[in-house]
Amino acid sequence: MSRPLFFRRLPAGFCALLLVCALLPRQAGASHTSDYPACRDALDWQGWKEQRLWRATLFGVKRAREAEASEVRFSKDRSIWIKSHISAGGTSAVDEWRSLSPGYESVTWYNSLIDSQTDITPRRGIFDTRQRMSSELVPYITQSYRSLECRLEAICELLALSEPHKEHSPQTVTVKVFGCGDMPAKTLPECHLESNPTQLTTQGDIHQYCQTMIATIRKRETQIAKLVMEYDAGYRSILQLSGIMRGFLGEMRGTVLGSLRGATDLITTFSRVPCFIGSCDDAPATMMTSP
Amino acid sequence: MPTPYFLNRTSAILLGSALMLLSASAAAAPRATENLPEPYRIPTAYPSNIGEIRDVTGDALQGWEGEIHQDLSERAVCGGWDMSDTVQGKIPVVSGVPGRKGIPLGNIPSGMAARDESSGALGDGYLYPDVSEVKGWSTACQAGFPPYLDDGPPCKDPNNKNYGTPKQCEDLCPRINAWQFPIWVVIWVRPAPLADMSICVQQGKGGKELNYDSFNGDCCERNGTDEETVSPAYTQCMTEVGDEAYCRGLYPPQPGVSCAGKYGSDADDPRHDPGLPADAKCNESPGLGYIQTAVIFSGWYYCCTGAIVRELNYDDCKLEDPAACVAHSDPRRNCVRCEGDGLPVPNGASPARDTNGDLIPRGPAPLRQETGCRAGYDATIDGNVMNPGRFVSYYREYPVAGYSRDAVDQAPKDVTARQGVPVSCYGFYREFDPKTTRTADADSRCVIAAYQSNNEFRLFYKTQLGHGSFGETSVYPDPDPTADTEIRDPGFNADEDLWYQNLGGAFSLLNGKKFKEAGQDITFALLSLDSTLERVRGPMLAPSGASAGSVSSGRGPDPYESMRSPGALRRAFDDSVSNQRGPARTIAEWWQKQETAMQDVVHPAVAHIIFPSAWSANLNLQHHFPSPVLPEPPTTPVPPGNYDPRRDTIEVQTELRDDLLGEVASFLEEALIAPVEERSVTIVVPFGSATDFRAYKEGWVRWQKMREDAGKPVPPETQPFIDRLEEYAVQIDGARALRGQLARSLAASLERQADAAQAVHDWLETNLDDFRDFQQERQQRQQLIYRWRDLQTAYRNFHDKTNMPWCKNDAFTTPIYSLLDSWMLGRPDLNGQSLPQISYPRPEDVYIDLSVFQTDQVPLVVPVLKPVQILVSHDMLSPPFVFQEEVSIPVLPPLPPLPDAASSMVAAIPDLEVGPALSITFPDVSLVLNAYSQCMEDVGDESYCRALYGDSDPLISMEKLVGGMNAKYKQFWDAVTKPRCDTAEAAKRCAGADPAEGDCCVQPGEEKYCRRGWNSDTCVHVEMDLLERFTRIGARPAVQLLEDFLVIGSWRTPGNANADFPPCDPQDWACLNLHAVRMEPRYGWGAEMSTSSADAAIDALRARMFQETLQSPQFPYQAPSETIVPSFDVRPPLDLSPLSPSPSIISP
Repeated sequence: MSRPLFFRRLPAGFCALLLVCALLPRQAGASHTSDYPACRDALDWQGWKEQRLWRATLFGVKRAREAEASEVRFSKDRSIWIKSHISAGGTSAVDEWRSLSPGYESVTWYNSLIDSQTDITPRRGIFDTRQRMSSELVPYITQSYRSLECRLEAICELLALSEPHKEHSPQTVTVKVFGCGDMPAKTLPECHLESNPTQLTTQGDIHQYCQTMIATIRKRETQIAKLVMEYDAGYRSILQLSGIMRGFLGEMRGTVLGSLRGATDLITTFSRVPCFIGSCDDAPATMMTSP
Repeated sequence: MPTPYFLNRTSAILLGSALMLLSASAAAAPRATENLPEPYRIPTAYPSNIGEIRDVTGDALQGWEGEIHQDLSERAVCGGWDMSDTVQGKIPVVSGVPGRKGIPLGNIPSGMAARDESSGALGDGYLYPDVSEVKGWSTACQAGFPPYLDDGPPCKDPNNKNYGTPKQCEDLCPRINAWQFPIWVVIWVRPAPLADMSICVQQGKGGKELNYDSFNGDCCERNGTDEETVSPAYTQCMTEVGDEAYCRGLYPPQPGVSCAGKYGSDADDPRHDPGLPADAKCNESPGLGYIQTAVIFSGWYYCCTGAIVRELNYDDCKLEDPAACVAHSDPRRNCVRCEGDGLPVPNGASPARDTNGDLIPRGPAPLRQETGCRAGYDATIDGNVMNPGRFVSYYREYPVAGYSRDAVDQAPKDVTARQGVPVSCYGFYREFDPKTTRTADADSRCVIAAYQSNNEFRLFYKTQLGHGSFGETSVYPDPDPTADTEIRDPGFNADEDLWYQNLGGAFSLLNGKKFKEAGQDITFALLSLDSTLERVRGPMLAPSGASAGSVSSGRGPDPYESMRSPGALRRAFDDSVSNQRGPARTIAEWWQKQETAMQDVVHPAVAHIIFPSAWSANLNLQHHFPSPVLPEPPTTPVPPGNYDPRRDTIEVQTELRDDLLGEVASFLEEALIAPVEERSVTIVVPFGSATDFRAYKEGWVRWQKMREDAGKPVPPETQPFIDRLEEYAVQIDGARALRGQLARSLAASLERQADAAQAVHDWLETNLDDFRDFQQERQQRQQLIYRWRDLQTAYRNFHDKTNMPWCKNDAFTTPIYSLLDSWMLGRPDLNGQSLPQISYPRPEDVYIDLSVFQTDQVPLVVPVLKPVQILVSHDMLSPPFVFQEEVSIPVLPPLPPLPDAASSMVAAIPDLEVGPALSITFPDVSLVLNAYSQCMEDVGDESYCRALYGDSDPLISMEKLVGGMNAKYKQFWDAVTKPRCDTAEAAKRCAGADPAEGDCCVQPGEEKYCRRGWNSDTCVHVEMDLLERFTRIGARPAVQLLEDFLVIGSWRTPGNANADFPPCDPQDWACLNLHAVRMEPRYGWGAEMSTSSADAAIDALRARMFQETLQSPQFPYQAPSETIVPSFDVRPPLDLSPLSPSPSIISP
């Protein structure tokens, strides 16, 4: 099966990075207990992360030092951090990040640590692109959306690949999704249900849950993307108009208005309304100076 | 006075021709308008093609078939030019009347002739006709002596409505001559012993000396009647009242003055002795013993000359029979016929000095007895002063007055000469120079009796028609767009330059090649505008030559500058020109000065609102039209041109209207009232209901009771826990109060907005009264416009109608100073010092400077709480099994406090500090009313106010002056053009009047009559400048000839367009000046809010909310706290504004 066109366009390294980031096992607070609730949590976390990754693709993620107060970052170990304080002096190095995750309640992180530990690398979003019309952004958004779809499907595929395993550690597998590129990944230990056999109905429930979850995410993000596109198109149109107008006014002030003012000055100093027809201010031809 | 107003003069060449349509309706059908000249109009307001315009303007390529051309070529009756013709010979040469000649081209800049003030018998330029050209009656008597020698004027015929007539003058002379008195010599002798003889000379009756009383004196009228003599006042009384008894009582007639009545007898014998009157003083004895021995009748003597009477036959001497007059025996009788000027040849002087050649040869033969009409017997000349002698003429007739000049070819029927025009002048000859002497009514005494078909001027409006060229053959080249001078970008590169600047001087074309490379995006062009500057030019005729420099800047030297038409500089001239004052034209210059001054006064004050440019575009996009940067205030002295806020702002000049301040206030409100933006602040709120908590509480109470009943220990923490659950139940609803937070925050922001609105409102209140006053003063000033328009109309009417009875060109004729009298204040001076001057203070514009009105566009941030409700973990709220041994009572923290976001944000809303308000200086445009104007405003009765306060208002004086000027010239031209009563024109002019009265037309035989006395009807001409008047009447047709175009002023252009223009010199210009631009101190409000402070407050609030509602309480929520954290995440805004100051968003 050949890879879809949009995937071919993505740099291979980029895809690999995304996948690696997305499929990293939870470290902080991970019990690695294979049961239904744990597996569902793991799935939730995966879906959550895909959602954040997709939105980061659209809207971008700033570096920690550029983040506003109350912005939240997710660490690779699944701890969650919120920027709780921005140094008044403007020195970004002492911005404080706090977490309520177990084990981190009394810990303060700073910008550099956040940047090194965040599970989504800071990046500019597609909508961050300046001086482009919305229509120019559509191909990139579409491509990202296809990527989101693949990755969401990959979650459930990964679940299916994880179930048969009895080990308590993640196993390397290759996730194959129809229409998408093969994705090397690690299985979800929480979903190694074979290590803790459950009823088939439970397994059926977890599959059903996974499908429902990714469908919900996909649907919601589709709607949001549509809304954002509409807003963006309108905003950029006005922005373009205002930019043109600003430029025009800038030129007009210097050029057109300058000319008009000059004309006014001249007319004023002529002190009479110029006569624009030859006949009302005429004189004999012989009075003209020869060229 | 021709053409005082330069605009009229400027257009007189051609538009004047349209004017003539009015007076020459018989010659050409006028355009369909009553008020010519009227501007030509393009038929449709938005012509769809050039052809519609050419229908009016014509087109050289199509043979000039336009309305204008048609009017000028076919309908214009005069105007235009003929540069091949010269003025030389076209100025009338007048003969047969006194006055001063002119040197037509002797004072060209003034437009009038230089007056000859050196020739003539007295060396003052005054010329008098010779013996063949003037005749009249001269007398040694004075008015009132004899009583029938009247003045004012003399020769009034009581039998013909008291008209002054030549016949009456002729009849008067014999009667004057009959004014005589007798002389007797009475000899008294006293016999011896003291023998003596006394000789007594008795002059008339009564006393021995001659009694000069007109009625009761010694003089009497030989062979006259004894009819009583009535005074002119009596006659006037009878005319007006008609009650004889009343008039006689008021003005008692004098008794008759016949010699028979005075001396008892008279006879038609010059030597008849009426006998010594009984009351003769000489009848009294000189002393005791004297015996009257002899009474010798010496004879009759002329009362006025004292000469003895030798002949009583005076009636043979007629004006047309000089021989009979010469034949009379008494050359020194009271009244004689006069001829010529009567001046003697000075001793040693050349006979040629008297240029008239009318020196009367005196001496042996032939001895002329008649005296001169200018000077009488014994007249002498002492240097330049004439002693006119005793005889003064009281009537003169110039029978052969006339003029001639060369024809103007463009007027085919040009009447070039008038000869044999009789002129009659009534009244005692008075010689003076009208330039230096203000004439009185009595000086307007002559009748130019040109009312015969062979000498009348009346039909000149038909004969003097004809127009010259009007440009139909001229070539008016627009500048060649490819000429070097028009090339603004010689280095144009088709591969690089977007604009092609080399077609014409004023606009550029897009370079299609470059434009296509730029994607044919019009914004690309809009953002790369060409830097063309407008170039304003006067009407262009032809380039001046190769001296022009580059014109690429549009303000640089203009190669076409000098090719503007000199026709625009054609000077106005008037009768106030004098040799001494050179080119000065007092009235024309005065009027032009007043036009400028009045324009300054009535030019309505406007409001200049100076906006920052973004505002004027009304685009307030927050980030893309940043607030103007406050410029640094200039330090004094400010280098001119270095600090001009207009360069950064847009000035809107707007009419002052009532709600102007309101509109400004709305601008201020818009600026000061900040936009409101929300900021979400996340909080976590426990989700639950009082019922749930009470249910749990009830469970624990029951559990406690059951434990107690079962004897199981009840942990002491149980009751506090139960109380805490009740506390939860009570307080959980408090979360609803969070809804009020938004309202509180908004209220706080609204209060801040209200402060801004209040500040604006206060500002409005403060300025409103001043503004109203200013408006009222301004409107009051506007009322002047209506009066001024009327005055301008009167002036135009004077120029276009009164002083233009037919097509004529007055240029280079000699000034007629007497026409200035009676209206030109300050006469006889010509300097115009006494003319009224517009002296109202000049209004000023209002400046509302908003250019430093800064609004940061920083939104007012309102926190909007975003509650995240999380279920309380119910697992730990349920009571355990009653009999469970190990019981752990959960410890519940208090409910998280409800955050008070509003209070902290209210504190964070910056206060509006209202500093020094935007200042507006309302200039004082009130009219300082003088007493008269104030009276008119209060009372409104013009006659009353004028009587009370006179004409101290300059405008009133000007109205009076222009009215007087119009009346004076109208009187002159009306007298000249009065029709004969048997003509069609007479019927037209008489309208409802009776032609037989002779007021509206001249009755046959009455041509020389001075009907209504001096200075009325046709008897209006001043004798001293008759020559000048004939020159004016005979002026050439109104076609501009070569020298006319030398009567020009100079352009105001100094040659360097960047330099200031010279002031508006009234000598040649009337200007429409704008009010001076004023720079206001730059005050203004600004809404200064700090973005960082508002954001910092929000950041702090968010952090606090996180801490208070999630981090600190460790509340037993159903979800782990860590998973709630992402709810606090905020999404930073996207900034899509261009990164660089580049104006283009499409630049790479």
